[in-house]
Amino acid sequence: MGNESQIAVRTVNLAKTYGQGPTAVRALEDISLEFPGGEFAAIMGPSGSGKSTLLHVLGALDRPSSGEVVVGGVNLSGLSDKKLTLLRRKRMGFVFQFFNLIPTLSAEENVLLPVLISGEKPAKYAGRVDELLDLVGLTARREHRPDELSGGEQQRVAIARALVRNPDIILADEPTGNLDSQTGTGVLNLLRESAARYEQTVVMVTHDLRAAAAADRVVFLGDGRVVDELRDPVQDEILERIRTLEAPG
Amino acid sequence: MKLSRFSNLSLRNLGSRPQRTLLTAIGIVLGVGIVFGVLTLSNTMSATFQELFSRAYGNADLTITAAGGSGTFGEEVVREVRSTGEVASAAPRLSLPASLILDQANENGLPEIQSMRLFGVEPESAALATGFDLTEGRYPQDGPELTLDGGTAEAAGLEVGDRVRVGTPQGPEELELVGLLRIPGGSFGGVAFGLAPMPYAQDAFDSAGEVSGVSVGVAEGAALPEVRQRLEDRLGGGFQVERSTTRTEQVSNQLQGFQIALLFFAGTALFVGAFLVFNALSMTVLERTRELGMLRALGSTRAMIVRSVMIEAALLGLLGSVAGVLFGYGMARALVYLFGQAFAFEITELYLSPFALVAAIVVGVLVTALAALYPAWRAGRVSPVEAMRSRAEGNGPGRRWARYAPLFGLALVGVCAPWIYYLARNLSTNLDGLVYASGIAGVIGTFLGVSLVIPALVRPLARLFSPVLRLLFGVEGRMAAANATRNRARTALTASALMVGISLVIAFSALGGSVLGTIQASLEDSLGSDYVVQPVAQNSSATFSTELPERVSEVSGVEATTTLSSTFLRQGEEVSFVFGVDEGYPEIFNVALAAGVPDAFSELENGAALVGKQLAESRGLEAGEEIELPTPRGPQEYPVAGILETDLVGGGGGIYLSREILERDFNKRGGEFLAIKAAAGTDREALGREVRAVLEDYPQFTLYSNAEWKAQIEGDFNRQYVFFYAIMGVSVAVSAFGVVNTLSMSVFERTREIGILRAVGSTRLQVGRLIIDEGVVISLIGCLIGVIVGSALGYLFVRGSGAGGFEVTFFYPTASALYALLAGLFVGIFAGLLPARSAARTNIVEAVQYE
Repeated sequence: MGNESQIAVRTVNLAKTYGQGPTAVRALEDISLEFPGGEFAAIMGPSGSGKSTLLHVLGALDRPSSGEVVVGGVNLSGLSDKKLTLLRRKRMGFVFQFFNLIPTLSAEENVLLPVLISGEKPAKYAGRVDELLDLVGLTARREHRPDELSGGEQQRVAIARALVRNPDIILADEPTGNLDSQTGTGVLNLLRESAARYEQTVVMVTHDLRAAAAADRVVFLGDGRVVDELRDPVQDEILERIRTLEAPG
Repeated sequence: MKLSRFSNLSLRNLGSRPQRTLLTAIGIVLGVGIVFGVLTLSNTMSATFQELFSRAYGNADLTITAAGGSGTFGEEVVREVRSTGEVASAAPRLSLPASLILDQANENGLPEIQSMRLFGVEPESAALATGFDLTEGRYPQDGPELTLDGGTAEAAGLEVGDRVRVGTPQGPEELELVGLLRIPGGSFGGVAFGLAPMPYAQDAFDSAGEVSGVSVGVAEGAALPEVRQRLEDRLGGGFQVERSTTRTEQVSNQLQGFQIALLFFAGTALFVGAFLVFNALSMTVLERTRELGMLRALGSTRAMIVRSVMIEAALLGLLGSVAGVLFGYGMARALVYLFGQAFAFEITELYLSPFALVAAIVVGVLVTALAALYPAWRAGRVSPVEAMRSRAEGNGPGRRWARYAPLFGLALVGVCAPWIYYLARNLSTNLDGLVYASGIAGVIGTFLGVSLVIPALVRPLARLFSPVLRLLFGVEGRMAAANATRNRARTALTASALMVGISLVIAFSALGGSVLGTIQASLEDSLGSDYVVQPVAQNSSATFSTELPERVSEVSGVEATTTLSSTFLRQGEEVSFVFGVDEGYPEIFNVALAAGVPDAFSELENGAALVGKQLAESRGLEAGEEIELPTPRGPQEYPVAGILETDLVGGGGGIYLSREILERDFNKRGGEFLAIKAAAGTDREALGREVRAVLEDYPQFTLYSNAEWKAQIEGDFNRQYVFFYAIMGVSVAVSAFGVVNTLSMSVFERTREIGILRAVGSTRLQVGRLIIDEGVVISLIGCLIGVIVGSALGYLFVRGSGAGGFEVTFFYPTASALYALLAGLFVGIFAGLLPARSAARTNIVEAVQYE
């Protein structure tokens, strides 16, 4: 185990069960994982393997049924909803599959949203917003509304939004799932570059082989458990592991 | 404008969905509008009446009238008043019901008649006798001279110097117009107001030597209570000496009940508007579930989300309320006009009070905020995980309490309905604001109770309508019925809003129809006359002398006539009506006694009285006892010879004396109502023609056959009900917008489904019809339950209004019920038009791909 201070997120014997009695569904079982600071990790697995649930729990969006999540040395168990919210606000950035931009706000305003939510002065972040818009290549389209942007552009706005308050961890749920492969690659590179530049940990759930291949490490889930791991993967290796995982028996 | 604060997001949300915002705000606009309109009408009424009454009776400190308020007394009293210590001035007046006979002809070719209140005054004290300012000419000095209110003069095209015809008990008299008065509010409620010289008025109206009131100005520095006491001691029991302001206060107290009822009707529109806000905000929250989840994921706290929805609601409420107040000004104008039509009391000047303005806006914002509480709370409960979900899914309200809601609703109805009945039963004897308010609380409780039951009724009712709809609209009809049950809570909420308005309309139409039906039935039963003679104008209390009945009874074929005269007695807050009847009365009216000696009627000649059953019960009077009445001659006691089972003219609360006694004790001799019975085998046409010929000399009176009279009563009734229907109609209109809102929600939620329907071959028309039919199902549910609840409420009102002697028979408002169901059909169709259009325009490809 690494030094505590260098671990961005850690889970201990994490389990999540939906429902009760005979109809109970075990989405996660006994997951113990560590994501060191600065790591770009991908989580893969077939549908229903629990990868989205894991991301929700890691992001303090949902609570585990048992086990612990420790974010930057803070144990999330027993924190109130309000404390969890504040922790999310301070330490996490999210990138969603469906971009989730506010349709009534311009690209720039969407990037600023976390700042507004935290009640800080937007002026303080003017430079940061310019920098990020430049990074994602949307300086010219900053006044546009989401419905005037392409899918790739919308996702780039979402990435800028996730980065604006310089969080420790970025959680991405199928960030390329709704994009064509070329745009997807662009978004992925952006995510990777920015994470490296700002020394952020990225945890990304994905189905996309190329996306996973861009990661430092791939964690494979199956039936709610960690079944395999791969460091510095290449596409063929990943494909092979998936085939094994999905093979009957 | 760049977004600089999180809370400004609410404003952005409102602005980005103008159509939704408008639709939601319309409930508030209409609700606040009608509340402001009614408040303004209320204020206008109070202010107008107060100013009229305080002005009409002069700028005096004290007012002396005969005990009971409406009798007359000898003018020597004025001398006595003047010689009382510290009385600076005293102005006598003789208040007379008269009418103005105009040159214009009405649709029957007869001269237009306008009711007039005529004061006989002394020229030197006229300014004290009445407080209206002289704007032109002078007060009447001597002989046939008239000073008239400017509004009436202008409307009739009269100018100072013109000759004017005035109806008196002996027939029309011609007077010279010598001056004009200005009346606050424009006119005395559409009744003309005139002044004539005292001796002339006394002579023309058979009242030689009599006056009806004295306005008293007290010497500078004198103590009012002392002077009042001194006058009371000096004049004795036949008089009442009041501070002028007391009269004014009594007038406003009498208005209170009416104003509360009006506010209640207006309030229901706002209540229904709140339903609309609740529905629309719930929809907005549902629609934005993913957006809200994302905001939560980005670190918004629950409180921030709740706050942002509340801010959105408050802005909406403020916007709607301000628009509502502007709109309400127009409504107030319309209401004042309708009020004038309904109650024959015209008001031309509106009194706008800042209080009404602020109250309407505050109430509007509060109601909106209240309606937003639950949707806001729901928004705060949205999990951040929703941000990751592929598609927002509506989850119904908590199952736990939803299951018990209908039971709770039934219990609420079980408590409230008997309470309304109990109150209604006792209302007529115990009328004050608090009782009224608790009755209204009972009605609101009933509505809430029924609303809670409706979700349980949606499915069976939809199933009931389903075959009918299938028949009418084909397979879409059946599918629509099924769709309406998919979100039962929302369907129920929308239907509830309609239910409230419809049931009020039905209840009041049941009450009105029953009272009218009962009056007509008892007319049939107890009135043996063929014709009646009454004042032309509805608001007139013009009288005729003995000459008119004498001439009428000489007409060939007239078998019997009877004349009624009347006066009212005011004892504190209580008002009772005293009728003078003659020996012809039992020949025409069916006198049925509940108690008393068999020949009770003939006892009237000897100074006895008959009283209505309701009055006897409320005062605990029995036959053989005595009833004491305040008269200008001092308190008098009359033995009660009998108690009337049916008291047609007095509505159960009448006191009957012989006309001689009424004249002796109350100085009331003019007849107001003449009933004529034709001999068997008479040519009625000819009789009617001849009586009409006699009436040409009394143009302020007109002849009605029984059928015409009934139609006249019905017309008066309907005119008054139109006024209430207009107010209730607003809440029905608001709830119709609720249906529009719900249907647009359905279209939004089912975009994908509609796309699939289109993909498998449904035409645009079919998809549109699906939505319209759903609207019809929802609004039919609302109207059907509204009719049922309204019928029950109406029954309670009717049973309740029969407190005491005047039992009202329940007549079912069949026509109104049918109209309500038809309205349900049309509201559904019209509400569905726009949402159906957007459903029909759904882009198939996009809808199907919609994640």
